[in-house]
Amino acid sequence: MLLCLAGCGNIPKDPEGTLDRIRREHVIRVGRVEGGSVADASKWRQVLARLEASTSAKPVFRSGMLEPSLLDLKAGKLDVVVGGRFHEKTPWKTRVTLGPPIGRIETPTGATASHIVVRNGENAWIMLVQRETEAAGREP
Amino acid sequence: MSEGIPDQLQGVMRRAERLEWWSIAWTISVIVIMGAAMGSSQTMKTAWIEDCLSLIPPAVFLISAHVERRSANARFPNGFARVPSLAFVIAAAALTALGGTLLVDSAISLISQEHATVAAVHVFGKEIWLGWIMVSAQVYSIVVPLVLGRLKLPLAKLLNDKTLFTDAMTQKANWMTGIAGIGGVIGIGLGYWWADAVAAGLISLDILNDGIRALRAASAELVDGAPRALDSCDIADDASALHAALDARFPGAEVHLRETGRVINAQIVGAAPPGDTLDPRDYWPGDPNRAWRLGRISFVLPSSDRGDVSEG
Repeated sequence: MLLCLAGCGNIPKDPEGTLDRIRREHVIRVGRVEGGSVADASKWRQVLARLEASTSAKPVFRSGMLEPSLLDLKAGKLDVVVGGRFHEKTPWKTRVTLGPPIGRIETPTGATASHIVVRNGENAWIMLVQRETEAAGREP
Repeated sequence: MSEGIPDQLQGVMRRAERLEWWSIAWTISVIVIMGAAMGSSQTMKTAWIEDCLSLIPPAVFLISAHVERRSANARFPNGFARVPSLAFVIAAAALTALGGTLLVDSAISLISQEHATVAAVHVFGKEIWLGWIMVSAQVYSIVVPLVLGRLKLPLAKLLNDKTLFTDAMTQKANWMTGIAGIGGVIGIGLGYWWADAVAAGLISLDILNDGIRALRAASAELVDGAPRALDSCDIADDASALHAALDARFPGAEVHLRETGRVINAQIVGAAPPGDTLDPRDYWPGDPNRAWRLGRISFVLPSSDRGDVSEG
């Protein structure tokens, strides 16, 4: 039944139409957090390249600090934030949607990981980002 | 005969207790499945909390049935016939608190415009939108209470047990929650972020309404109000018929009826007990099979040397 339901049309859709707009305007508005590691940057670049290929949209970068970028993401001024590293218990995980972890590091105070961050509720866009992040994770 | 449960109800009572044990087991299975599929959906959270709290009425019913069978003792000389009344208050309070909490939760979600993230999961290597898993869990959560509620309702009426009736109402609220929940999840899928919170809010209103009604009836019982119907705050039909019959039999006297657990106790103020009729069953105006409803009838004499005389 699940597999049958999974075939049902264009569900989910984005309440704010993020994925449709990206495909229509061919632009992904990316908030880039400065100061991340080279390894993390290499991985999110791979993800962005995959998103570019699957949506035919070009990333347009805007650099900034982590929290102001996340607030802009919540307000719908950005489509995705890259380069941010989060503690596993970050309070942001209910306010925005953290993609699959990239470069997880165990520390004495808990694990941290880099995440590609998407606005809550934009489920079609979130699913695409998750899919491409997982696919990029399987690449060398 | 045990202290609180009339003999003719013993078999029905045992059936009700078995059903409540099954109810607890099935509800736990629903809680586990719904918890696994919950995600960040407000509707799913509402439905899951409701499923958890719906364990309270069957648990309270089983405890009260156990205590009700105890014999009267020095510390409780009147026995434990009122234990179902206490159970009813607890079940009604749980239902009201549940409705109120969920309504506030849904209103906060709606006002703060929370957009529920329902992303993908992998099942047998295939990517599936979590919403479909939620819908499947909701379908399961509908079937269980739909069946249990229908089985409990006739037993609640036979036993005149308000806790069991409230439990059956909770089951009804549960399957309605399931249907509204499916609507909420599909709404998210179609891009209507508010559908989730609105569905949860509507469910909460229905639960709150049932809870307030039950709480009013439970309060009436606590303050020795006239016996209330199982499904409303109106005076029970059989109590009205009994009142009319006693009025006709003792003209000029005051008839006071109150409910003690599942039985009615009558007090006739201003009349002497007739010498020929000693069994309360003889005063019951309706179906003789329901005569157990009249547990005790007492008289307060009209003269200055009045005193209570109990029969039965």
